[in-house]
Amino acid sequence: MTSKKNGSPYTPILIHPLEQENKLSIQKTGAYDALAKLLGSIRLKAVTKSHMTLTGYPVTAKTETRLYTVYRQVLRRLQCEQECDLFVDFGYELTAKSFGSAKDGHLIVVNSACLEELNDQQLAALLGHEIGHILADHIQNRELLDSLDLLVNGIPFASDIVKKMIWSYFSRWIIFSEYTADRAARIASGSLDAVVSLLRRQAGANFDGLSNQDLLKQSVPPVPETPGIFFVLLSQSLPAFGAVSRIQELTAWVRSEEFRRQFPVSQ
Amino acid sequence: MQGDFRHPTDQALTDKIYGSPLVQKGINKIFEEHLDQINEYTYSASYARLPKDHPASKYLEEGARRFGLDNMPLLYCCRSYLYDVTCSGYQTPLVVVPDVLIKNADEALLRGRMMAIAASIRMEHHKLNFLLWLLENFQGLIPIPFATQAIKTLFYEWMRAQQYSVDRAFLLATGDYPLALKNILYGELPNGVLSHFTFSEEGTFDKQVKDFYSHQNAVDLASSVYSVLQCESWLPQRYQELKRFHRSIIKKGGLM
Repeated sequence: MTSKKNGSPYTPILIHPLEQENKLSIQKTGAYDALAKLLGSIRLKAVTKSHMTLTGYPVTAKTETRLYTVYRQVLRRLQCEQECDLFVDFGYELTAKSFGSAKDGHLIVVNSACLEELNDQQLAALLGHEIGHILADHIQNRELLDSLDLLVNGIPFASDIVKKMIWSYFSRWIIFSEYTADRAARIASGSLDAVVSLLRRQAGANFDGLSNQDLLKQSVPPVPETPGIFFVLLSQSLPAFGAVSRIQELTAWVRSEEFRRQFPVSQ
Repeated sequence: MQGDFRHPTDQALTDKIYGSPLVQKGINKIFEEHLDQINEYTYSASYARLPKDHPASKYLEEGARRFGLDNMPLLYCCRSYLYDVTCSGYQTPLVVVPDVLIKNADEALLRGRMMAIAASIRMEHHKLNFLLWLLENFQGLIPIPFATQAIKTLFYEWMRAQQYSVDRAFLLATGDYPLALKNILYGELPNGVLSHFTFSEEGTFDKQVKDFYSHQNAVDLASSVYSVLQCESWLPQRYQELKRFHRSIIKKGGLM
């Protein structure tokens, strides 16, 4: 799948307004374009793919029939024309991650625990979420962050200060980009319940005595205006970062007039 | 109440840590950059808060009353393969209970761990946990590597010692000595193995504890080296410390 703007006809309506606001301010700088161009020339997809052939295995109709079937269904639901490479890697967390760039394409890596613990609908939500990141061009920002991290590691004494500045700059965008990807997960899985149950499992909140209503009622303060590096480090250390606020945001969207207008017959 | 069960090494190391100028700087940073609020936001946005009528909440509340906490800490659950209940935050303490414990532990064990974490907050362990987390993540910003390592070593020693205090609190909260001993190994050994263990003055694990302490010099040396690198408690040491504490309270007239 190339990350062209029209990778899916849904892309424009998936972008969360808060992400739009914050993304634009990030991408206004000239340095961003230059770095993104440089990044595109590194062939990140190829690098990750060669690594994945060492540690994981490629998903095809033969190697992992269930996951592949779900994946094809997700692509159909999101009306994506091209598929990107899919791999499974060993991992305990119920997560997947996307890599690559707009220039040479993307690949998605799914943790092995997902195959054991998630049902088809939850797998569809998981893959839909990752494809949402690709469609909304998030991967470029993420790869940019990771690459800058690597680059500044070489600066003696100042690397952490520089990192702090870079990560702080992106901090608010990080949570808002998850809201966008969750919208794609909803379209890809065909139900709000699938995404909510996936997020609940990822956050360890899937047991008796805790209802969806409890999560919707949970008070979450607004995202801090200047969350900074501390927020980013915390977000990286929590496997289901923002799960509760994401459930609340997605539920509000699915119940909104805007959603009903876009999807008169729920799909 | 604290003095009744806080392990002396826990207290001594806590005092030493707070005496460090580097730690004082870290505390100032928490207030200057509102890190406590950001911590609270991130947890409340990411983890489900347990309802008040959930057994884990009830036991935490029982522990809060038992150990004299002014306010009920916020209680969250998370996905984890580790069975440890943890606390963090500075002014606003947060407790995180792993889903494996909620799903697998029997009521008595869950109750003991939830009550013990209330005691941990009473001893303000969450504050040092939070400071250690900051130190580990921001050590690159401290221009003196040796000073950072020295303070980290202190923190790691403290991490082990605070566990002794929590084990003591578990025993006092439940009044169940075999359960308190079992608690040390619970989540560390597969349940199928643990179910064959006995817990008493001469229980299944005691032979291993004796073997461990029969090489005292090697243990001391390894402890010193180990402290520089990591903070996990050694099970035989926790076991031995709890047995000592139990003997001391028996001498004083037994568990209340």
